Amino acid sequence: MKVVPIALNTFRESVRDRVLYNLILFVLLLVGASIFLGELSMSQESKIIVDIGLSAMRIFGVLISIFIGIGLVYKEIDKRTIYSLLAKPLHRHEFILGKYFGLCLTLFVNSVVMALGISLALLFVKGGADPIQIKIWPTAYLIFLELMVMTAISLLFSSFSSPALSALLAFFLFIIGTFSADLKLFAATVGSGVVKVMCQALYYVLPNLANFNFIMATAHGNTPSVGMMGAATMYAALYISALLAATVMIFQRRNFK
Amino acid sequence: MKTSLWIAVIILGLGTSVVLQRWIDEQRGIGSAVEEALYVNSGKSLKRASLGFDGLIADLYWLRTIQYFGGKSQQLKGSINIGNVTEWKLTLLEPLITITTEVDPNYVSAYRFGALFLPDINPESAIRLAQRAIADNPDDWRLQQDLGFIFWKLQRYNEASEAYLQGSRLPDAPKWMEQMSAIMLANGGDRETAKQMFLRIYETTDDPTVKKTSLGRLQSYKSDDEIAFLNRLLANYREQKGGCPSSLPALIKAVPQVTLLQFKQAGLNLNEELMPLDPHGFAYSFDAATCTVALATDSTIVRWRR
Amino acid sequence: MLALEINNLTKDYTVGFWKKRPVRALNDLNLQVGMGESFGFLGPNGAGKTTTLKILMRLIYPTTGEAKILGCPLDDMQMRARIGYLPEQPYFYDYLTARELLNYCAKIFGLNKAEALKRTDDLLKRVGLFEAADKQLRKYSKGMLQRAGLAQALINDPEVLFLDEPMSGLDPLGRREVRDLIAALRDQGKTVFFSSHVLSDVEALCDRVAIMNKGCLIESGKLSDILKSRTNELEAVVTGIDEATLNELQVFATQIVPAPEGAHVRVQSDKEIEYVLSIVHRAGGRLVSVNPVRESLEDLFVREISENAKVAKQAAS
Repeated sequence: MKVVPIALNTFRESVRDRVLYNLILFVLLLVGASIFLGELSMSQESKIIVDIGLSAMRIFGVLISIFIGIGLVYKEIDKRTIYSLLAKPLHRHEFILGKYFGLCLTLFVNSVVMALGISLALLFVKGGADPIQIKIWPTAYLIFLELMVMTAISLLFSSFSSPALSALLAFFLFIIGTFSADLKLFAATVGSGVVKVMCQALYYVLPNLANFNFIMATAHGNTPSVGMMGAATMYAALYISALLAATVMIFQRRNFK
Repeated sequence: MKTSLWIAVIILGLGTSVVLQRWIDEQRGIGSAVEEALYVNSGKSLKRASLGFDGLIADLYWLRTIQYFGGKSQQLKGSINIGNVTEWKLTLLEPLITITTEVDPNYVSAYRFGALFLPDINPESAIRLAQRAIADNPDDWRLQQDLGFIFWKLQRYNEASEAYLQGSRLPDAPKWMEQMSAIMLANGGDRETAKQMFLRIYETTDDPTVKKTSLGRLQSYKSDDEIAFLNRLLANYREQKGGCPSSLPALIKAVPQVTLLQFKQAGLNLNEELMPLDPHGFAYSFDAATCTVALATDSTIVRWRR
Repeated sequence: MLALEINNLTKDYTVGFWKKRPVRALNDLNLQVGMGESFGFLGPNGAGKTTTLKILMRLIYPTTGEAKILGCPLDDMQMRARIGYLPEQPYFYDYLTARELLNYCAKIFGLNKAEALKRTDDLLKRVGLFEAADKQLRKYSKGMLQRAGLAQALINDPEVLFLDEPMSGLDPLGRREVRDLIAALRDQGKTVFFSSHVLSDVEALCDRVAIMNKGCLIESGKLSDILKSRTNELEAVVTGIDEATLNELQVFATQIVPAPEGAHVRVQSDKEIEYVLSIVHRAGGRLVSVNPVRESLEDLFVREISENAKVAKQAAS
């Protein structure tokens, strides 16, 4: 499978471009929060650490998936590095999949380190082992799924529009996807037929990122059920497949002038 | 690889995800209930965090307020007396309006919305909100009207009178503001006064929900008046003829034209068979045994009764 | 079997944002290159050379027509493994070292680890980058990058090599190095198809050439045939003659270009050169050299374009 060397090279690229330096910022944030919140009671403190840690993990990750994601293919075309690559025995879909999984690998490493950081901070705050240190992991996993969806979205946009527009569109979808429940509620409250049907259609076509967001529940010590995690995983897999297929279709038709 | 394969993946992926999404929503209870959660609970900190988009944020929260209210009324449709907001359990209404107006202190529609509905839910916070509205928008007489309305609802007629008086002195205030001040002192608890209150709100609002609610209330009062009138006619009829009429049209036929004309001018509706109709177009029901008139049991006016 | 066969290849681009209109980048190209041949693809900038190469490399899709490499259609993956390609002004991942780049390319060709390492080492030595193999490519000079590019094109030991302007943008030394590398490949028996807009690069390396202009093939064949067939002119370089002698030469010469201490004198044929020689000799001057005049590529383009224009005019009238 030619996807693996491409993915590994994409991972290497982000490492050498110092993408993982965001981890330093993240650690500083956590340490700062732990010190700053020293005044509060212990249970509140751990709730806030979970809130800040997982939210930062989500925001940092989304920023990476959008801003690196839109450049994945664009940079290769712009710098013409793709020319010598596509002349080799390599299908275009292998290239797209390789780039995609390469960034996912970066995000995976990033997320694992961050989740470890949160667990450590909780260890420090709680002064010993506590279930909450484990409970953040399922939630972190769901955040990672969300990042994979966002990466596929960025990749799709970058396959047909400029980087700036792609970033804008991807960010827009991120916002909409986060509040998609409101869209459904809106559809329920709107009486008229066309608007209602359109809202419902949008609700199902647009990415539903709320499926992956259990940060608040986790901060209160709850974890998503196994069924919910399975469903979210399935949802991510299906949605990402559709996005990647669309990307490949567009990419296969492209001329590299 | 073949294009058709990729198209199949897209269709299959999106199609199956819809099924999955329905299951997830069912599990999480999304869409089945109005969301009872606020993302933030302080408008002031939200304003600070809004990065200068406070106008937009206020609009968003206002939309959420409307959606919340609308969602609740959809949910409760038919099952409850919608004239009585207290039964709606609108726990989020007050915080939502507070956040909206804290982010944008000049959001007059939000204040006015609160003034109509909050007194039934949380009178003290309704007063606080109206007073804050006045403090932030001292030149708007409509907010004084709202404060007066809230005090009237709470039967604090002296304070209501004071609010109307204050409002009547503001620029562009209509003449009736001053009259209301006097009415409040003289007979604040009257039904006539209540009708006046809702009529004024109906006339001065541009919010569709507020308009609909005050109209519903007015029609409810009107139906009361009409029932009282019809019952009076029945009493007269019995006195004169010594028995009950066979039906309401029979009653109407026997009524002196002058009396009837007066009431028609006041808005009493009769259909072609001379059957009196309530403001929602339902025929009043007539009980020959007791010789009294009442609202039809299926009339939608019932839902606006207190 | 032919190394390359191009039949009626045409490519239209659409340009313009609002009003889209097609621009023909390549017009009905037919070309054949035999195995083991080294073939020069000549033409000024914008002639359609890069477009042709990009179509062959599947980077763009032709509007009409088709091409075969090693007898296989362009999307044949087995065929892809038997060719190499160096893009114009190549640019590679600048965060990689040359060794990493070659390893990466080897993996895409599916070479096993041991083989990849061996090939990488061999090629690095061959293109003279062994010393700099572990430096990141962002620190490379243009000539070094070009050699790294050649190395990546050779990683699979290809039978046919496609090189797009392999010598452009290089200094004389770099040109020489790349030229020697290509010559060595030719001597190895590889088929080399390369584009250039510089005649001298092609002359030294190519058996046959094709000359392109504005998307159309103008000529193809042996370079010497194409250029020589046009003229028998000779040019003599003379020194030590005065103004009067120059005037005397004017009678026989088709063109005289004065030079310091003498002149370049062009004549129609070897008959006139006799007269020129005797006049110069009589005036006490000295003959430096006599050479056949070769048409430059530039002259050829100028002539072709003006001829095309003439044809177009006639067609119009």
